[in-house]
Amino acid sequence: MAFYVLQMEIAVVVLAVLGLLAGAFWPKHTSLIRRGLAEGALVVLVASLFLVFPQHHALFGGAYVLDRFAIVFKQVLLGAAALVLLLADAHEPLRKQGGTEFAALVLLATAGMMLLTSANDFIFLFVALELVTITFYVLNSFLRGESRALEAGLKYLVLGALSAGFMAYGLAYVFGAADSLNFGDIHHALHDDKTAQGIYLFGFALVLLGLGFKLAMVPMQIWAPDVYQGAPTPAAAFLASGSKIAGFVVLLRLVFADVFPPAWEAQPVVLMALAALTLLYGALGGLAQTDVKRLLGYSSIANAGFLLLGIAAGGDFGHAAVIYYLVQYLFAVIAVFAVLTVVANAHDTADRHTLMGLHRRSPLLALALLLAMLSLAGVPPLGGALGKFFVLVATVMRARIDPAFYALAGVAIVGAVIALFYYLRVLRGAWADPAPDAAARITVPWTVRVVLYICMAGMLFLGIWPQPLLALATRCLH
Amino acid sequence: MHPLEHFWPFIAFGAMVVAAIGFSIIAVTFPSILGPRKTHNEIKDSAYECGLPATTGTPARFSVKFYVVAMLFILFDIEVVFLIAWGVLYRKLIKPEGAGGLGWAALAVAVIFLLILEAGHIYAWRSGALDWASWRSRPQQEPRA
Amino acid sequence: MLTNGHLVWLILFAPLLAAAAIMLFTRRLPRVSAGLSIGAVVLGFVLSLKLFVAVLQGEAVVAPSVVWLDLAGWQLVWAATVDRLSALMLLVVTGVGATIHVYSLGYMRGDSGFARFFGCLALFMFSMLGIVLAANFIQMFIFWELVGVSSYLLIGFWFERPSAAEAGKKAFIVNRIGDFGFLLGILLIGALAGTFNFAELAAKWPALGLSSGVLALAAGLIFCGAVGKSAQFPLHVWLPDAMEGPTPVSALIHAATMVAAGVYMLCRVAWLLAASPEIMNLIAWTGGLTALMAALIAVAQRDIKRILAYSTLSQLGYMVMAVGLGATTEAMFHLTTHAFFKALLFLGAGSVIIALHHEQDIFKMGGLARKMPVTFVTFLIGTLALGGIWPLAGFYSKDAILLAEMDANRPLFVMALITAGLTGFYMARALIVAFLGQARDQKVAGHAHESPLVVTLPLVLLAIMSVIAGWHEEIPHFLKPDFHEHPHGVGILLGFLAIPLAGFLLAWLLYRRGPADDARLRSLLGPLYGLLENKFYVDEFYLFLVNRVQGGLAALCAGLDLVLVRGLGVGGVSGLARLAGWCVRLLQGGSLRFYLLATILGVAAFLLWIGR
Repeated sequence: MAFYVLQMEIAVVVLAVLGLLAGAFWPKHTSLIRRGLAEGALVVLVASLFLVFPQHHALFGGAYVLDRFAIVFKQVLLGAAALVLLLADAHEPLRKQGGTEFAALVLLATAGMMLLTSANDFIFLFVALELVTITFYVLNSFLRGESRALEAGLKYLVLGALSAGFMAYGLAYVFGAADSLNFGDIHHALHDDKTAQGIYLFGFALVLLGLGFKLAMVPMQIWAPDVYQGAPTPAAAFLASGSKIAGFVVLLRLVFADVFPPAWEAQPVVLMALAALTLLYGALGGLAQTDVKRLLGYSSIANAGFLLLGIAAGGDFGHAAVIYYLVQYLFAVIAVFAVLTVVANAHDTADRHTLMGLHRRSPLLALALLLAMLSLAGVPPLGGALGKFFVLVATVMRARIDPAFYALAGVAIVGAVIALFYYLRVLRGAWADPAPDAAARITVPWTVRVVLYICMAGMLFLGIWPQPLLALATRCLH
Repeated sequence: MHPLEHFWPFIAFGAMVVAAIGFSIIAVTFPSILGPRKTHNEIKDSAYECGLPATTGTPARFSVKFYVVAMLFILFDIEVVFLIAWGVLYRKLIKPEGAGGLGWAALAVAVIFLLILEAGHIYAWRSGALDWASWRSRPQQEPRA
Repeated sequence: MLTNGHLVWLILFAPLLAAAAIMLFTRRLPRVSAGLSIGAVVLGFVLSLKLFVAVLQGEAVVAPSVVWLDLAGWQLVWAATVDRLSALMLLVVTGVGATIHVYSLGYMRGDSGFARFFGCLALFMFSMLGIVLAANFIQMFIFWELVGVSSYLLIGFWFERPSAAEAGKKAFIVNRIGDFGFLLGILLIGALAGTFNFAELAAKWPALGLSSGVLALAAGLIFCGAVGKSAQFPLHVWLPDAMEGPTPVSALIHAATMVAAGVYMLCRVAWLLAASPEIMNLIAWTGGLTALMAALIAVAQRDIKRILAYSTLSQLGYMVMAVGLGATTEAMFHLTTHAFFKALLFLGAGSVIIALHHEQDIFKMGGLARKMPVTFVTFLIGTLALGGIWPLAGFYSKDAILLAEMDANRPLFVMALITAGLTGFYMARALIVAFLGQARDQKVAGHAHESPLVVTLPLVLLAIMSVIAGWHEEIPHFLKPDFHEHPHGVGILLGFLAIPLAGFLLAWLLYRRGPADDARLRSLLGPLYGLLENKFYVDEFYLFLVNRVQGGLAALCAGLDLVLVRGLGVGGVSGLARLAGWCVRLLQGGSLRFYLLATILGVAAFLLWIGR
């Protein structure tokens, strides 16, 4: 068997296991080991850029495929993991708790996400997804002493188990209808069989809902604000970046592999409705929020709506737009969480007061927050603006065939405008409000500095010169 | 054909129900008729008569170590279950690649699996999950970090 | 191997790198910052020279281009236009820029924001070169806005002074008005032609078969951009106020380069303007009116920088007028010579200003000629060049415009001649009052002495250029190899020479005795003087407009807003949004049991809906 196809995943798992063992054997050097893990992830990432991958290789009887799309997103996810590991090393409550488990679990979750990008079979998808989800149960409640973190972990656990149940239930129907769980066989199996198509539709809907938990898609979105608020900030960062990206990569794979129910491809009204509801829920829910981490939970829902919109609009350009959106979103969201990692208070929450007068306390953090919030809000010349723009272009292109998409574009714009309001409100606190008297200057650890510089450079580069990524995204599709 | 042939299963089932109810009535009533009386005390009246109370109030506590050990047991137990599937197919898998098997890779897969499992075991051991008492409370050994 | 094409990008990006390095790393190191900025612009000048020679020898320089954005087949390419027009402009921008950078070393010495100043200058150079090299409208618009930003930063450089901060804001806002039209024009053209690329548009635009109304609308909107940037009537009000910035900034941005960008842009899109005779006419008249009006205002100003600012307005009017008459080559010729002598005049004024410890009123100066000989001689050369005296550069370029007008549009020609006479008068007035006679205010002008070499050397260099730039009409021949001056006799040229000379003579008669103030001119002009002194009350009119009309409208709108928009519209919408947000918040109460219920109900509803 050609195990070298799996080389990136194997490297990450080995790294995680070694980190775990090293932490158990040399408990005095955990900080060093943690940093070593972050750097190890970066080394794997850089090495993967130079490796020659076998193109379009399949493993495990076609359950695992390796194509350009998968490789690119494996690298993106690995990059996200490295950034999150750097953040985790600077996160005060996690440092106090010590140990290398957090870092090792992040790497294991990354391995799961990387497997997801290659999943070409429903069972494989389910197992990889559970690897990610179960790891996150631990990551979210990692700060055992904080009741909020425990609450977050419990909510994620119960709702995650529910969604896994939906998915497994749906898979049974999918297998019953198509007699196979491999993406390659399903499309042919359903050909011309109306009964099987009906059963498949039901099963696929349940699978989509199970996946929707990862995406924070209505009606599986309800956990997001609570978990984002309570989870340790680096865990929330990984939830918002890695986990979400992996979920959408799977969704894109389902589209590419033609396993969407035939009825939805011609009339994507289901996806349209989900996109619209998700967008509006995220936009409206954030209006009344004062806690920044909680706000990011709603922001995550709203962004999921935008991404679903791109998938619903479809077409080569729509899919390229989704890929572009995912990458730029990674930079913006990690930048915000990086800022919060440093400024969040001892209980690891960030209400309005924690950000007040940030520009006086740390100009670098205030600048990073400014760029990230403006990027999320969609202000040029930052990546977020072009991400939203491309998705809207794809929507309008689709609307020429299917006028209902015009309404969807309108919903998206309304959602973006409402969201703009709450992003700017966060900035007002950071830039206009005076700092509390007791607030001292903040010293930013170098790991966070590195993360912030990378994210800011990424946001600006993608906003100023989008073509390289857009071209890469288009090449991924073929 | 016997006219009742279709109903045999129902008759048998009904007979069993009657027998079951009858036996439980006998089991409850006969001892009180035949047995000696006035042996009433707290222990004698409890459900299992073994000294441990069958129900207690909520504040009862177990050491958290029970949970850790139980969890580790279940984990490793389940992991080993995965090996059964491999073991059943072992003879097929070990055939050379030309003959429909995987050759040495079949063995390698299991070894890798066991190595990961062992890594988990070592981790659990080193982090003290298998120690019932902490290092500090052992008089013969110096505390370690 | 670096080809000339690669050099184009090096010229453009060297100042950006310098600006970034200054902002990020060397803010606390003034000398290093200045060195970076000057190095970048001098490098740009040397490379521009190389490029210029290459273009002169007929080499087709193609800068490597990259696709900036590809929207499903609709491409926007980041490219550079290198032709005779941009090669000349590059040389002017980097050449004048380099001398002014060096001059700034002396002028800004000891300023607390020394490094910041050079950072902003480098940013400006980047933006300006971007306009020069732009190959499509989008690229040009981005850099167009960037020069606006850097100009705002530099006008308000001494932001502790409220007047400087106000002037920066005014320049930015007035420019935004013009830019709004510009942007609309760009979008209109893009929508009609399906491309923003200049070369493609030049070929495609006349062939589109658009109605004359649409052609006029497009050309007019694009012209709006030039009206703002080149400070033409009625958006000229920002330029005199922009003199609040440091003098090198006034010389570089508000005399030689940025304000000329409007003219350059019009020359770049000559195909667009040529398609609409009505707009050409409008442009010519706008330019003529600005030229005459600004020259009149300059006559009654006392602040040396303001005199030069109105003179700049007036000369820009000349160029715009020439563009409006289709004489783009002549306009570019005048733009080039004007860049040299107007930068020279501003720098000379700056030299005086430092010598007098920031006194700018000419009627407090006097007798500076003996104390500051180099400044005096170079200022004299600049004055004569601006006045259009043979054999200095201004004579050739101004006469080229006048000759082009003579047959094309007689009324404008007469206006231009009057302007030429006024130019001679107000420049001679400034020169005589400031440099000749005795010091009027001993405290201010008594102890003046010559500026250091770092200040006078740029003056000398620019003075040399102001003398020779017009000779043999090399510049128009470079721009247009088959350039022929309009046929004319020696008599006409003598006439052109006589008019500014008359202005000089009049100024000599009025001011030779060194009057303490401007009473003689005031009595000569009567009420007109007050009108000119107050710049035709345009600012006051705008203020009135803004206060009363806009204020009244605003009050009306506020009333409507209160009742209709806020009450029903926004109130309704935002109230609705708030209500919905509140509902969502209610849903997210935090109870896990409720979350489970909500999720399951949601899933059930979803399944029922898809199964319907």
